[in-house]
Amino acid sequence: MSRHANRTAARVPGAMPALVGVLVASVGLAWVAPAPAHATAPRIDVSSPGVSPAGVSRAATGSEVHALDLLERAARAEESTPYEGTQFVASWGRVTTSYLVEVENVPGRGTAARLLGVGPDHAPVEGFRSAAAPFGDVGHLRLLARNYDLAGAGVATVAGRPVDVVEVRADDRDGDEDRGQTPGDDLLVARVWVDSETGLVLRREAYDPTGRTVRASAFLDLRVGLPVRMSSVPPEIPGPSGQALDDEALASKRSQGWTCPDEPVDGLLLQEVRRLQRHDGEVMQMSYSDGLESVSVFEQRGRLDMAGLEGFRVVRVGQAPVHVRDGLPMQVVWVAEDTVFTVVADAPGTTVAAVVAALPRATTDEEGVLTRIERGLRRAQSWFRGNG
Amino acid sequence: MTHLRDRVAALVDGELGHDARDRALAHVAGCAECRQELEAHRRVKAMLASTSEPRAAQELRLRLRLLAQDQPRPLRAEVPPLPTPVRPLRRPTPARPSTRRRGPGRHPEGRSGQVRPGAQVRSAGRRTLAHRSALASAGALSVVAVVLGGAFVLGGSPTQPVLRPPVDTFSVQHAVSTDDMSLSDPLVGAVTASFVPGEPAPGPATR
Repeated sequence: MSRHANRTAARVPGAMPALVGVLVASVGLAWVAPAPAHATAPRIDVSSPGVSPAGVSRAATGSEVHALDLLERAARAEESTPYEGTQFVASWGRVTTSYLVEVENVPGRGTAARLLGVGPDHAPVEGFRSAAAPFGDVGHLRLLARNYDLAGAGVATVAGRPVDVVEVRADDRDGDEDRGQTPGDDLLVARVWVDSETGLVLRREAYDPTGRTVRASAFLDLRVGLPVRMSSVPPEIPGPSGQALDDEALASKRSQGWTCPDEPVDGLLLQEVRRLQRHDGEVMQMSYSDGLESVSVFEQRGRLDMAGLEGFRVVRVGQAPVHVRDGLPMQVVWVAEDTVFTVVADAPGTTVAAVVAALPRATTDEEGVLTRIERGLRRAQSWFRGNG
Repeated sequence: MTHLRDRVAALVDGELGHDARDRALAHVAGCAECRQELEAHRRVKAMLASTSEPRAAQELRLRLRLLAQDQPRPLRAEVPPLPTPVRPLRRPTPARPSTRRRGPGRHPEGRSGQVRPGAQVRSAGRRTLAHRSALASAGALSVVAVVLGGAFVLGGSPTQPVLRPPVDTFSVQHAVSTDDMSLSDPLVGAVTASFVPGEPAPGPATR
């Protein structure tokens, strides 16, 4: 077991529960209108399969339809298939993490995951996601299809079971230069192995632009269909905190100076904005996705104190110091004028770097003399008016 | 607790929260350095309150903005360390028709200035007038230096709180917010992140 596991480096894709609630798409989904950049992801119109809506420039290939079909099956599999098994999960980068996870899924009840060997005195670290949690809408799958090329890639075997393979490739028509891909590349970014019998995702891998595996998870053993008795139900993982904002509330926040960009990097669209209230102030959380990767940006008003935050290294972006903690998810913290940004990302370093570059950063390491003088004058003025 | 540093001005203005204020005062009670700084802030505050020139502050701010516009990027460029009040008084663009000479000229104080292109310099006028102007300017400039210096001291502490972002709490929040948004598996991530000791979970939204 990796020593890093105790750092809760275990934020690596685990598999099944992953696609749960992710993919609720119909066959022939492939051609739906591109997602507008709403504060919340819109629902997909699945009423007209096979019809290419306005705005879509190309039709789905048979292979792509097949791939989407497989991914859609994977989501429904969680709802209907009881299973239990052991997964191996790992991420590679500057920090390598790996661990074993025991997963139990009881349709109608929920999914439990137990990390083995981590926690104080190697006590298991575990959590439970209730089946009552609503499945996500299909915006994700639409994004995935829009931003990436999906294709069926034959069959294979995982944990002794036949699987269908789905390959996710970077769109080769307009390579994403923001993320270090050059146009014309046909870049494999992920593979998903889907159980032929049940549709469950048995294995998944993600690759960086150089082709190196950066994340992987796979079932080592799996028992399907047997009644699964969860002898002890782990503590339930709560849903997201805070309050989701609608477009109007978001516009209001932006007018107050909160950054909250719609699309910091090409293809990475704003899915949801939440407002959290903490003892030290408000937090705006923007969640972005391109269908494959997800990034959250947290904005807070204040000055940055990194004391007590361990494991961060400092990189320079322009003149500004940016604190990075590797692993999965990657965590990045920096301050820009009077805003502290925290980025949490299940995405390769290139994507994270692009997001950081797209957000405001301090122009100098220290406050400029001018800023300080201006603020002092404003303060002095407020004293004259008796506000001091 | 570490030295107050930038929190001194906030303390003087009563902008710290209850707990922060208590901690700050407790620290000051035992720390001579911070106590001196606190006293200095209070003196400056008292001094500025006793002058009658809010307009002067506004005009100075305008001049600073014009100066900043004239600076090359980034906007928050360093200005020469105080006190060298000569340069901030130059207007980079002509405000109204005047008898001032354009182009390089002698500064009222008698120094030949380093004039930026397009900058206008106030004419020294006739020699005796120049002498008197120089004295008046010197007096005005020293007031400016004091006010700018005072503003610099006051401006050292913004009214924003000092934050340590709850990175691990944010990671959990990210996992449970985005589990329907990508092909990554956040359940396992949420499981481990949920058990990181130390950070309290984010509170519910109050509105």
